[in-house]
Amino acid sequence: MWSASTVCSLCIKEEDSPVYEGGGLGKMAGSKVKQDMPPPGGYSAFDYKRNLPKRGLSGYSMFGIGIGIMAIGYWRIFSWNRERRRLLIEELEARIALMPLIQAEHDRRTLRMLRENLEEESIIMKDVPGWKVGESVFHTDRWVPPLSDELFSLRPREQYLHKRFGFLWYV
Amino acid sequence: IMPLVDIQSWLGINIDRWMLLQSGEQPYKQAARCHAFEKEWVECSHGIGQIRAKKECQLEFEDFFECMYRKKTRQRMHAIREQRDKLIKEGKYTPPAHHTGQPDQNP
Repeated sequence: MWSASTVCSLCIKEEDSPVYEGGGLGKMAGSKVKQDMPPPGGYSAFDYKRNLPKRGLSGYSMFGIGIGIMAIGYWRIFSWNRERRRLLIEELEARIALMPLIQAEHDRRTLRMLRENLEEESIIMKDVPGWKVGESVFHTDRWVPPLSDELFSLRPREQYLHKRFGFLWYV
Repeated sequence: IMPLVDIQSWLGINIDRWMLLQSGEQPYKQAARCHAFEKEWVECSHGIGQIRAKKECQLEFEDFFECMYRKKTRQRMHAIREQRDKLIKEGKYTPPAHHTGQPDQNP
């Protein structure tokens, strides 16, 4: 039976309630209720404030580094371009030095091909009426450098193409 | 007013006079292929009017035109080639060896 001597664990004892004693809030529950409370003494301190540390280079110095790298790049490019110009001039001078020889060879070849073409033409067009062999299409009698068209016209086409396009690297 | 007021020489600038003639001043002094013909034609027809120039400089103009377009040259080439093919078909003509690809690169 319910006797007065039993301790009611859920009851609020009068002597412990804050209303009667004015005790602290920590004693609010007063009774032995198992709650999840912070450890005695509270937690240790931690920083909750904003942490935006000033780090790295400043903006000015980053600009400076960028501009410095660009300047070094410019200087290298300019000096190499000057060097390339010197090399180009050397190559042009070499071409000038060799020009008589190469021009002479080229001229001999041209003349030989013209002569051969003339003979061929005279053989081929023997029976065609009214054809003047070796007639020039111009009214003047200046030397007109012949086109590679004319020189190679009686030869297989690939020789002509080689002459015209053989040294091209681009399309 | 353009031909009467020469703005470019009044201002001393050269916007497009450099590209009007093939015989003008070229970069790297590279002459045009028909430089001589054009020069002849221009010198022939300078100073006289257009009507007289068309009559008197006919030969020079024809040469210049021929140099640029090579119509007559091509006609001749075509005629010769046709005749040659005809003769080959009839069997009367064989092209000499150096015309058929054997390398005979003379100087």
